[in-house]
Amino acid sequence: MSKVSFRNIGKIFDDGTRAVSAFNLDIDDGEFVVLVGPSGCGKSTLLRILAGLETATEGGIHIGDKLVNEQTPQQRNVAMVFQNYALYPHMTVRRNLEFPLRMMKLSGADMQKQIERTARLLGLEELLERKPGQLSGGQRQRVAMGRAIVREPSVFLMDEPLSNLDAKLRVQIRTVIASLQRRIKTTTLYVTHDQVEAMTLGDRVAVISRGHLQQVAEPQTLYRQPANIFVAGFIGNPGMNVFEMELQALDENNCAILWGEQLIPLRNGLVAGIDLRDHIGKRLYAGLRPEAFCNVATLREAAASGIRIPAEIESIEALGHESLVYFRSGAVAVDTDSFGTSRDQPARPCMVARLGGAINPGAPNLRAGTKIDLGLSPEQISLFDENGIALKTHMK
Amino acid sequence: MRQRLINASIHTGLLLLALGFIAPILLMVIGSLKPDAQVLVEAGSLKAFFPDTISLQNYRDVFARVDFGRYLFNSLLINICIVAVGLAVNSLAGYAFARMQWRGRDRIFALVLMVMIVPIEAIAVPLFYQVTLFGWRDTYIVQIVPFIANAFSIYLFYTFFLGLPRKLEEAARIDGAGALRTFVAIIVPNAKPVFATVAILTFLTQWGAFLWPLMVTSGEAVRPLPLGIAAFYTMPPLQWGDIFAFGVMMVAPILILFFLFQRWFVRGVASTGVKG
Repeated sequence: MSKVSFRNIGKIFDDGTRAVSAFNLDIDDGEFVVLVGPSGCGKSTLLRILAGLETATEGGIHIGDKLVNEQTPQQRNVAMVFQNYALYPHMTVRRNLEFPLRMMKLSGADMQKQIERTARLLGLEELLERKPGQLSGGQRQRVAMGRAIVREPSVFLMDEPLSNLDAKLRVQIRTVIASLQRRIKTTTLYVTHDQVEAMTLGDRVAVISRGHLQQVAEPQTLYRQPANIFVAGFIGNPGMNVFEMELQALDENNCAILWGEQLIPLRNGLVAGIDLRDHIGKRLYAGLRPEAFCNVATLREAAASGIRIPAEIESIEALGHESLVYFRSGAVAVDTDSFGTSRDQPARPCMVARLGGAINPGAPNLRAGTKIDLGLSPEQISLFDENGIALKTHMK
Repeated sequence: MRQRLINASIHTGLLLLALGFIAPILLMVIGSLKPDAQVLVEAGSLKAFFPDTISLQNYRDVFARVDFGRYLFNSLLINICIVAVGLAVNSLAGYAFARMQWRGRDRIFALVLMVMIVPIEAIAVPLFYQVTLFGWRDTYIVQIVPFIANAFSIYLFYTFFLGLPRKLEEAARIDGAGALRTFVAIIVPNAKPVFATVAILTFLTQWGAFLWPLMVTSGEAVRPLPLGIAAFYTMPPLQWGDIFAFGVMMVAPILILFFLFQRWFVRGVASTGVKG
C-alpha cells in the first residue's frame, strides 16, 4: 500500500498532440480515486503514465516517497485491469493468476496459496481450470481483477473495467469492486467515463477535461458544489442546466434576475449566500440541477417561498418514478461541454426539470406544448463568473 | 433439366482440368511401378496410366544405385535446421519490426521488403564467392545459413504480430515480464498459425533447392535429394523407372507433412491473410 502523487504531469505524444497538462493529484494510502471525463480527455493516458506504460514528458510520478518516472511497471509494483481484460487466451485461469507470481519468482507452495486465496476472494474456485474463451464477460472481468490483486500490488489501476459488460452485470461487478477494495484496502486509481461508476465507487472523484484537472472532491461535493461549468454539466444525469443570467438593479439595495421577460426580485440581492449587487453589469452564469424545479401546480408550499418561472414543455421522458421534462423558458442554456473553448457554442434552448412521481405524463394538461409554471428556490442556484468558475470557490 | 445439363458440363470440364494437372504426378507414381523398359515406350499413349505388371523393382534399383538414405538424411537435416533456426530468427525480427521502438526501424523494414523481390539466382554468384572465402564449400552450413533469415517470413510474422492485441503485451509487462519473456510466454503461444505457415512454406521452398546445392557441393556426402535425382542423368544407362521411383520417395515426405499439418496450414494462411 502506498500513496501516489502526480506532480505537474504533462504528456505530449510523438505526433505533437498534448494529452495532459500540468496535472496535480495526491492519492492517499488506501484511497479509491476515480478519474472521470469524456472520452479523449487524457484520463487513460494518466493511468498509463502511472502504470509505466507511457512516459510523462513533464513532471514527476511518486509512489510512496519514491520518484518512479524511470522505473519499469514491475519495479513500481502496480497492477492493472484492462478494459478488454487482456487475459492470456492460451492459459487457464490458474495459469493466468500464476503468471505475475511466477515473474516474482515465488515458490510453488506460495504461489498456490496466493492463487487459492484470490480465487476464494473473487469466487473463481470453479473456474481455475478453464480458459478465458470458456468464460462469460463477468467471469473474465473477475479473473482480470484476480490477476491484478494476486500479487498484492501497492497500487491497483483499473482502466474502464466495466465498459464491456451489459448494464445489469455492470451494477453487479461494481458492487464486487467496491467491497473488494474496502477489504483489501489497496490504493486504487479507477478510470471511467461513466459518472455513475465515479459517484458510487470513488472516495474522491477527479474530473478531467481536455487534459486538465477540473475538480477533485468527494462525490457529493462534486455534485453540490461544482467548481466550474464543465463539472456542473458533466456530473449528474442529466447535468446541471447552465444559462447566462442578466441582473438588473432595482434600486440601491435591491436587484432582480431578468428571466425572459420576467423580473425576479431578490431579497437583499442574495442568491445562495452571494451578494449579487456586486456583480451588476458583469456577465454571470447560473446553474440549476434538474431536480431544483418543481411543478407549482402540485406543490403549493414550494411556490409560495420560491421563484416562479413560466415554461413551455418541449418533450417529456417518463421514467416511471420520475419524469424528465424538457422545457423552454426565457433563459438560453449554455452548452457546458464546449464552454470556454474556441468552439462555437451551440445554444441549447431547452432546459430540463426532473419532476417526481406525482407527474402523470398521460395527463392532458402535461404534454408537449403545454405551458406550466415551474417553481424553484434561489438557494439552489449555483453561480459562475464569466470564465465559468464557481463564484463561491472563486471568492474564497 | 437445362440447369442440370449446364452443371454437368461445367463439372466435367473442371474434372478434365483437374486430371490434366494431376496427370504428371500419376504418371510418375505409375511409372515408378512399371518395368523400366515400358516407361518410355508407353509414355505417349493411354497405356502409360494402365500398367500390365506392377513391381517394386525400380525402388530396389534406386537403393542399389545411389545412397538414397544419405540424400534423405541430408535433405532432412538441412531443412529442419533452416526451418527451426529460421522460425526463431524471423519471428524475433518480425516482432521487433511490429512492436518495438528503435531508431531506423522503418527504413530497415523497407529494406527487408525490398530484399523480398531479389531471387536467389540473382545473388548466387557473389554469395558463392563469399562462402568460398569462408571455406564453407561442401558443408551443411553453406546450405543452411544463407536461407535462415528470410524476408518473406519476416513479413508474414510482422503482419501477424501487428494484429495481436497490444494489451496482451502491456498486461505481461505490468505482470513483470521483460520483452523476451513476453515474446516467448505470451506472443509465441498465440501465434501458432503463423509459425505453422512459415514452417511449411519454408520447408516447401527449400525441399526442392537445386541450384545452390549444385554450386557449393561436389560430393554425395552433403548433397540433398534434388541433386540425388539429378545423379541418375549422369549414370548410364538412363532408367526412367528409377528416376520416377526416386521422385515418388522425394515427394512423399512433403505430402505427409502437408496432410499432417493441413489444418494448421489452411488456418495459418487464412489468418495471416486477414490480419495482414
